[in-house]
Order: sequence, then structure tokens, then C-alpha cells
Amino acid sequence: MGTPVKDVELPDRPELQELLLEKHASYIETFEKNKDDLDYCMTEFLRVSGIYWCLTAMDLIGQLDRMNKTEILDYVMSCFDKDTGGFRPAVNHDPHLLYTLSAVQILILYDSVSLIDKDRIVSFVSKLQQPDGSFVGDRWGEVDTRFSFCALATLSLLGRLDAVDIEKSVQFISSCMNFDGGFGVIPGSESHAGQVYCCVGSLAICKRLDVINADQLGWWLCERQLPSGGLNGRPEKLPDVCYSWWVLASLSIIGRIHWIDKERLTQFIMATQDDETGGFSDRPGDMVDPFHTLFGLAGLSLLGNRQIKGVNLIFCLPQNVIERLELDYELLKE
Amino acid sequence: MHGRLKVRSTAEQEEARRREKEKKVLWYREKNESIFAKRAAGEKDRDTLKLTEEVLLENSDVGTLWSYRREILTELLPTCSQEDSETMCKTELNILERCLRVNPKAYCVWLHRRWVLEHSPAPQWAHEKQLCDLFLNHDERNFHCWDYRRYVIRKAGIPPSDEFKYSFDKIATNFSNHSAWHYRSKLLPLLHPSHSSSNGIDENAMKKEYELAQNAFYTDPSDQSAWFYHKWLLGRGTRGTMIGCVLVRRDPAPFIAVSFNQNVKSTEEEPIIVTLGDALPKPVTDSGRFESLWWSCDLVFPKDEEVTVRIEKGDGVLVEMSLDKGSNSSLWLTPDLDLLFSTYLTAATSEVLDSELVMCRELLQLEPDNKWCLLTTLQLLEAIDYDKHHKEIIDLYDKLVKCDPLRRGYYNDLRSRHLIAVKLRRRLEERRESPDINSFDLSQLNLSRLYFTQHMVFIEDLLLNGNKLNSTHSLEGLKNLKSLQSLSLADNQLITLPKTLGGLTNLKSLSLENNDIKELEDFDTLRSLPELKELNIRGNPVCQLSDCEPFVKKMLPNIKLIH
Ligand SMILES: [Zn+2]
Repeated sequence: MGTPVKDVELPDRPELQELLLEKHASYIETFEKNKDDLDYCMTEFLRVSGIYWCLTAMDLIGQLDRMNKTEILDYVMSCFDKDTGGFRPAVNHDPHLLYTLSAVQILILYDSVSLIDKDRIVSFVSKLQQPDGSFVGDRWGEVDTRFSFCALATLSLLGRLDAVDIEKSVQFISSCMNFDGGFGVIPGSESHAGQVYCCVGSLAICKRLDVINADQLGWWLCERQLPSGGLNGRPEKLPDVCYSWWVLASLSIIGRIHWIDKERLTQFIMATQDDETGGFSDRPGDMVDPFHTLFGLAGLSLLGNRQIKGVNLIFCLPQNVIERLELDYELLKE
Repeated sequence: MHGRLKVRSTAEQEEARRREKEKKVLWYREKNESIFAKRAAGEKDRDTLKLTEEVLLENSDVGTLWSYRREILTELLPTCSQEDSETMCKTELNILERCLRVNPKAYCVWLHRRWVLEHSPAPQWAHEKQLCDLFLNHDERNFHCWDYRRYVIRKAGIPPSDEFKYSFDKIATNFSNHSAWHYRSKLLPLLHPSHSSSNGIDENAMKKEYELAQNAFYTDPSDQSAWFYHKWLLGRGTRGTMIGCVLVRRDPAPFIAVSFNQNVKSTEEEPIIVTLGDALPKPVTDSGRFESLWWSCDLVFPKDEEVTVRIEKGDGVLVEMSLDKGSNSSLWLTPDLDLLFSTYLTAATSEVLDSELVMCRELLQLEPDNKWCLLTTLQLLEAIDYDKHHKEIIDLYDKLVKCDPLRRGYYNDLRSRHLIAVKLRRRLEERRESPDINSFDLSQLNLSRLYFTQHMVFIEDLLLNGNKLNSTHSLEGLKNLKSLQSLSLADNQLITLPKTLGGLTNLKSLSLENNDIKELEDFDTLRSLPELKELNIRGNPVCQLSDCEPFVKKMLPNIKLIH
């Protein structure tokens, strides 16, 4: 016989049935203050993204004012690379599309886009587009549909989608579609819920969701839900809180969020809270981190939790922030 | 961070760990500082390679350090002898392999490996393939390694047939290896192309794949990968664009609506073109919309005259009809009603559908509750003849909801779509015979969502009472009902009024009896309905509010309120 279903069991802990808002806020607050922590040091190479996760998590639970805005904006601006127009993840590191999106998300969140030279960023992003429509992450030429999303989301947030070839971007993303309706890293790569989110999000930004076979993709996505209620990112993989975001947001963009069991997923996410330290982990009983804390909260927001602000499906920022920008994108309703 | 279990420890252990961590932080910072100082000074030497190696072996995710190494190697390699540069590349590959053993999912490590091979004087592709074999034996699902493998195979010029065999071996080892099934789906069209078959794959090759999937089903019928693959073999269920109906109306305002079998866009490259009478063809582009019903009130019909209407979209979609002198409206219906609603497994011939159905039925004898087999069986039945097998299909949906309750939302939607298809096809056939039919009964069907409403654009009277419609998205389709005058949503599970109701500007009578509407403000949506004369809200929690009646009456002064 084949392999048994890979899954986890939820701990029977009533204290986790409540959303520990104050604990999560203090977890994030301490994480950002505790700069001598080993994990904090070892993750320096993605600092700007880390800051974005922390800030968005805090804003979603209405605690943004507990973060040091001046210090953060100073730091992010010090990561701007004047030569290329991209953002570095941290001082001394190389600029990259991944951190350019995070930096722009932070600036948008703080309504501080005026601090930057938009045109420089737009030029950085548009130069990374390749003749086949794909995007490389930086000068070393790695292609990935994540970078397509970073580029298109950055430009959309800056109101400058015109700076790249949208038709070709769409063509490249379409070429990454697979037999199961999902999308992979590059043409030929296996479907992965994270990449699905990047591709579906990109197509929503380009208003080209017509490319997707929504019923086929929706089926594959709803099959990510396991008996524990959690979602995995690919068949036969363990559930993980961050996929609550990648899978749920993708399902919502294509108008099929009700194809999974929301209640059971909520229970799974709640069980990944740490009631001692605050924060969420990938699975119950694991170590928490800001990445899973953001996506746990964002997932709960999509599931309709009223204690958390509404989150924008495409840009993963609070919905009120995106509404301020009056961005234009497409969602499937039928 | 993934899969790091939180472990309990004593205060002593905790303190020892804390000190160790503190030391490591100092070490890590010191190393990084000296590396970045060297980089700022433009140093590109072997010492720096050594220094970055130390840090990367501890933390291989730091992309910038790999970039620095590439900068150094770019400088050093051209100045070395052939032998020396080969040794340098070999060293580099060794370091990479050590990093991959600890961190096999690091994007920047795999990227660096490619770079090294691209810059090696003598890249050993055979060795790289072995490395992939090794890593995929260790973790058969590592998609970084699978991608790297495809790169190596291309570079090494290894024929796809070898890799097809490899994918088979991987599947034979473990039928759940989705990565290997995926690889197969990419290789099959390359290896067995065909110009005559509908999906571009040779039919004999397809037959073997059906057999392989069947073997997998019999080994473990709950392995999803083989079922996804099987669905792909049968085809995606998409077809070309076709028009269901065209409604043309003179009064109260000139109106034309065209329903399509799927969402369409009217783009500059492929616009919807409308030609009225002798007027010039008018391409209507509206790239923002992606919907299955296209409609317009912008057209001007000649008064009291017969007018011919021509609709075109892309190749082969064409409708010609006329609106007679003296008549107010005209409805064109496709002669292929069957095609309009049937699901279509693009790649499968009817013999294949039949034989796969036999296979599924046999498997169901052994595994009566296997959801994959239940779903495949009913999809085959739908594709073969959804009308004839209607009852069995509904039974299968009901069973699926019981066997796999997590996805009941998915099955309920598919079930609703099937039911509406069956009912609507019959109704449209009746309408073809009797042009005065403008009502449609979809009551008491446990519908969870509306489908095919674009083809109901002419319906004036719709019964949706006694279903399980509960949310805004389940009623999204209401927006297509441009002729609707009377609507019953009684005995559903509505908590709030869908905004789409506000667009039904011809609506005269609306029943919301026995729902779960709680807020008076919800009725605000109905203010945009100038014709609304009768509103039934009896049996909703909102009726308990003391100010319910005056509030609604003030908001909608001209209606008869039943509460
Ligand atoms: Zn995760």
C-alpha cells in the first residue's frame, strides 16, 4: 500500500482557542527590539522583508504604533541602493527584487512613498525584465515566478505598471502552468502553492485571470486541506501556517475560498499560536517566527476573524492601506 | 523557519545555550564585518574565499556572500592555469555540496552551483546528474533539485526518453511522488507528439499512461497524484467560445445581451462586433470586463422597423438574427444546447470515456467510499451524458459530501452546476417551442451557488426558494438577470443582502421570507430598484426590531411590505 497521509494532530489545548492578540503584539515588538538575538542575526540577509512581516502583522492587529516608525524608515532608506535603484535586504547586502517589494510595501504602509525617488525604483524593476517576459531577481540572472510577482506588485503599488511589457509578463507566467492547473518556479517546474499565489496575484494585477482554469486550479488548491484542517503547499506534504495565506489568498482571488473548510482551518491556525511567547509557528509545537505570525494573522483575517483588520488579497497589506491607493486589479467572481 | 520543534529544557541548559548563542552572534558579526570591509575595499583574493566559506557553511542562505564569491572567482579564474581553475571550481562544488546537505532547499546555493558549472573549464555533467539522483533519493520531492536536474539534463544533452524512464522508476518506487508524475506530464508530449489527436499526444502512448494510472489506483486508491494525472489525461474540460443566447429588446430602452459559455473579454485583438441592420460593424472593446454575459444599452435601433442583428467574436462565433417590425423583443438560442452545458474532457474519445468508466466502476466495487474514484466516475458520467445519468450523478455528489466533508463547498458547487445545467437545458428547449415562456423554477434543489445565469438573461420570473444560498458570492450570478421582474429567495440562508440585487432594475417583486437577515441597513441596496412594488421580509431576525417597519417604509416609501 502507499504512504499514509502526512499530517499532524492538533493539541487539545483550550487556551489556544482564543486569539492571543496582546501576546502576538508583544512577541513582534520584542523580536524587532532584540537585535542581539542569534536568529535575528542569522536572518539579517532578509531584514527588510522581516520588517515588512512585523509591521504588517502589527498593523493588522491595530498595534502599529508600538513600532519605531522613524528608526524603521531610516533603516529602510539606508538600504536603498542609489546606483541601481533597488533595495538591499540589509546594509552591505546586494539589492534584489524581493527586498525592493518589501521596502515599497513598508513605505506604502507608512504612507511615506514621497521619501523615495520612484523613477529610480521603476527603472531598477523594469531593467530586470527579460525578452521572454520573465523577471530576474538581480544581476545574477535567476528567473523565478516569485520575481514576476515582486516586479508587478512593486510597479502596481507605485502606479507604474506601464514600465514593463505586461503581455509578455503574462505569456511567461502562462508558460509556467502545469497539468494540475497550478504554477511552478520556471517553465517545467512542479506546482507549488507559493508560486501559485505569485502567478495568480500577478495575473490579477495584469487583469488577465482569463489565463487560469479556475475550476481545475481551485480543485488542486482545495485538496491542500488535510484532516487536521491545515493546508499544505503540495500533495503529500505537511500542513504549514504560511500556506493558509498562499492557498487561501489564491482561492479568494479566483472566487473559491468556500471550497475549503474554514472552521477547521481556523482551528489549525489557532493551534499554532505559542501561548508563552506569543507568535505563530509553521505547525503546532514548533518555534514561532514573524513570517508565520504575519501569515497566520492574515489567514485568520481572510477567514473572517473580526479581531483582525481586513487584509488585501494581492498585496498582503491592510485593506485600508490599499484602498488609500485606489489600485486597479481583477478578482474572479464566477 | 520551518520544522523547528520547540523543546523544553532546564534553567541550566537554557543558560548554557544562551551563552553559546551569544558567542555565536559575536563570531558571526565579526566575520561578516571583516568580509564586508574587504568587499568595500575591493579585495578579491583567496583569503576572502576562505572567509566567506566559513560563514556560508554556517548560514548558506546569505545570497550576497555567494555573489561576492562569484565576483572573486570572476576575477581569479581567468588568471589561473587550466588546472588551477579546475581545482578552484571543484573546491567550489565541494563547498556547495556540503551546504546542500545541510540546507537542500537554499535557492542561492543551487543558483551558485549553476554559475560555477557555467564558468568551469570542464563541467562534469554526468557527475551533476549523479548528484541529482542522490539528492532525489534522499528527498524525492525537493523541487529545487528537480529544477536543477532539468537544467543538467538539458546541458548534458540527455534524451527525454531516459528521463521518461527515470520518472517511471520514481513512480514505481512510490506512486505518491507528485513530482515524478508532474515530470511525466512534461515529457509525454515531447516524446509522443501527434498532430491528429486533440491534445497533441499519440493515442497509443496515452493508452499506456491510462494503464499506469490504473496501476497506481489499484496499489493505493487514495494517492491523489495519479488521479490528478488521470484527469489531465482525460483533458481539462475547456472548449472554444460559443454563444448561448442573444436577447434584443426595444423597450423600455434599447438593449442587447449576448451570453457565452465561458467568461470572455472583448479586446482590441478579438473584439465583440455588433452589426445592426445596414449600419457599419461596431467593434465593442471593453478590456476591463471578463464575464460570461456581455450586454449594452448604447445601441440605437431604428424605430418600428425590422432590424437584423449580427454578433461576431473571434473565429467561428457568429449569430445572425432579426427583431421583427412591431415586436418588442427577440431571443436567439443556440441550436447546440447540448454542447452549451456538457462538460467536455477534451483529450478523451468516447471509447476512452467508456473504458475508464468501466475501470472506475470496478474499483468502486472494492473501494465504495474512495472519494477520488467517486469524483472521477461522476465526471466521466457528466462527460458521457449528463442528462441521461442525472440521477446517478446527484447520488454520487451526495455521497462525496459525506465521504469528504472538508471539501463539501466544492462538491456542492459542482452539484449545483450540474442541477442547473439539467434544468436550464430543458427549460431552454421548452422556450424554443413557446416564446412566451419567461419563468424558471429552481426551487427546493439545495443549490449552494448560481451557475449559467448568463443564459437566463431573458427570464422574468425566477424561483430560488428553498435552497442553501447563503452569501454574496453564491448569488453573484444574479447580476446577469437583466429581465428579472419577480424573484423569490425565500427559505435560504441569507445573512445579508447581496449588492448584486441592486442591479436588477426591472425587479417588481422580491421575497426574502425566512432568511437570516439581521441588519436594517441592508435594505439600502434596494433603493436603486425603481420598479419595486412588493417586498416580503417575513421570518427574518430583522423583523423583531421595533423600528423595522417604519425604517423600511421610510427607505422604500412606495412598496408593499410583508413582514
Ligand atoms: Zn511555512
